[in-house]
Amino acid sequence: MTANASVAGKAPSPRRWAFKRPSERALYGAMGFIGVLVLWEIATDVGIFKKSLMSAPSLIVKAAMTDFGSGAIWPHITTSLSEWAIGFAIGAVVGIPLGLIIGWFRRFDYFASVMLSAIYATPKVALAPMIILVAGIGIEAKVILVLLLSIFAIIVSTVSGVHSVDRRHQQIAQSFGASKRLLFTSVVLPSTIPFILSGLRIGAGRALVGVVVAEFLVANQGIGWYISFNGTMLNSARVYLGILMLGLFGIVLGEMIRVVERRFDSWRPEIH
Amino acid sequence: MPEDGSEWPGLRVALAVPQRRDLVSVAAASGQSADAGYRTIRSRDRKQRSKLSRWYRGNERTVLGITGLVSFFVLWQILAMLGLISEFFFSSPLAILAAGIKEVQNPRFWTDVRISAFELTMGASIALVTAVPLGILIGWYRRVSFTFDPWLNFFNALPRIALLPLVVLWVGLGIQMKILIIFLGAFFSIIMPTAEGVRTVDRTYLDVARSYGATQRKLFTSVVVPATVPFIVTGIRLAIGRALIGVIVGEMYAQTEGLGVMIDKAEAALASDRMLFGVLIFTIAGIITTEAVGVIERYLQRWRPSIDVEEGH
Repeated sequence: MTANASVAGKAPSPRRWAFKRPSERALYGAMGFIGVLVLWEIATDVGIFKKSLMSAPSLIVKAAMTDFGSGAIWPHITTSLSEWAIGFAIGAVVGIPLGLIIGWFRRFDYFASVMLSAIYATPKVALAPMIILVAGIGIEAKVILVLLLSIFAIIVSTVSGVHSVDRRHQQIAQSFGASKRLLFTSVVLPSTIPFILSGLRIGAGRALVGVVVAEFLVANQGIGWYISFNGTMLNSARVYLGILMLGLFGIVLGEMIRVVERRFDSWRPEIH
Repeated sequence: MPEDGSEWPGLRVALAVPQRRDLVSVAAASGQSADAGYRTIRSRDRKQRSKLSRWYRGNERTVLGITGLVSFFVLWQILAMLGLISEFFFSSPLAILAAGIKEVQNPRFWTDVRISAFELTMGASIALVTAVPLGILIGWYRRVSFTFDPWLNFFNALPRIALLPLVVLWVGLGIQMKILIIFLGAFFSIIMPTAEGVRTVDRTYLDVARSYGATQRKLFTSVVVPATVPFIVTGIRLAIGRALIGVIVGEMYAQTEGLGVMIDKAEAALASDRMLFGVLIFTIAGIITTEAVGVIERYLQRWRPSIDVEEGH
């Protein structure tokens, strides 16, 4: 029983899985990962899965070698990547200052809050047909959708970061005669950074949704198009390949931001 | 760790009392500043204020919030009337209202609403009833968690809507396809926080329950599940957004029936007013479901630990 093992431990920890077991984690993780692939391969081989619909890991590897070997897949990757990067960068550059302003000025916050929650609740992908009509079928439409999807997560997270600045820290700074400006730069901004980062992490993921949806609806290039096109061609190995690349990109992205988050967490004292 | 930023407090909070931590708002709204001494200098005596001004100060958040919303629509209308915003592309609030009035008299609209609502309910409820038990299982048994972690993390990092062409390959373009893509969107959003909730159950509680001879079953029902509820609720909240994306994109992709098709068709017919009315329906659906989850959550518990869960896409 897993729980008994943890009871035997010395110092009681709030987390049940206080013990770090990297080797066990890696062992079972590898088993789970490889196990699924092997079962999948066998199931397709013996005909439980249809080859055209389910493909098989070996076929996906073959497709990857073909497409990476011929370089046919690179334009799709760079297209999607630039759509994502431009939209997300604009979202961050506009969203972070906007979030700070909304969070900092109380009346502005009140003014914007209802509108912001209404927009936040709207699934922005529903606006995709309109965006395509207005901005055309080029990269602009995709960038706009990516921007719309990512920016509100960034704004909302930044606002909640400014709101959760410890009152005592503000009071101390003010007691020592800090100007509004100093208060902002030396108290509010640093303690908001973790929130901004988590907003960026969420926004980055949403931006990826934007890329995929926009490319599903109208495109002739990009990973979303690659998946969709190969789906209609019943070329399922390439569909899986595209999905695999999106997932890997998502993982790498999340990890990158999390590394930065951890860095900022390490100097940040526990507040309460 | 910060709370997940995706958790916008929602309309109720946006309109409600000043936030506890919001120093300035507390000082200003109450008009007195025993709490924050140095503010006293600036705040005037209560008696000097008129009734209206006092009422305004008490309800500033609500007043300004509604003003903001109203002025957004008024500005849009004026700019559209002046021709500064192209009414052809972006319509105008009054045109959307007119289109909405016409639309609700159209039986086809209600068919679309019914179909979309059915898909959403089916997909989301199947996700809920499968993801919660599986999440608890994964959170409780360490080895199960280790085994499935690579795949769970992969699907959590993946924009699940990318699975759409695959789902079409598997089950065709019918209603099952849409239910399945909604299910996939919601499932991983619920299972990840649920497992995390079980993992972070305070060990002290478990030890205490065990020392008093709680059976495994009792341990689950009286310690693990209650402690996990806020995490499940967080997951459901994230899942709503994912599920709505599934409805819209699934329907636009399949082009058969539902509100997503209505939006797409309206735009193709260059009826941006009708199209935005469709978007508005989704906004309302998003607000209602989010608020409903909030009500259920408050009913289930008042306390709530700070949560930082991984959000999937």
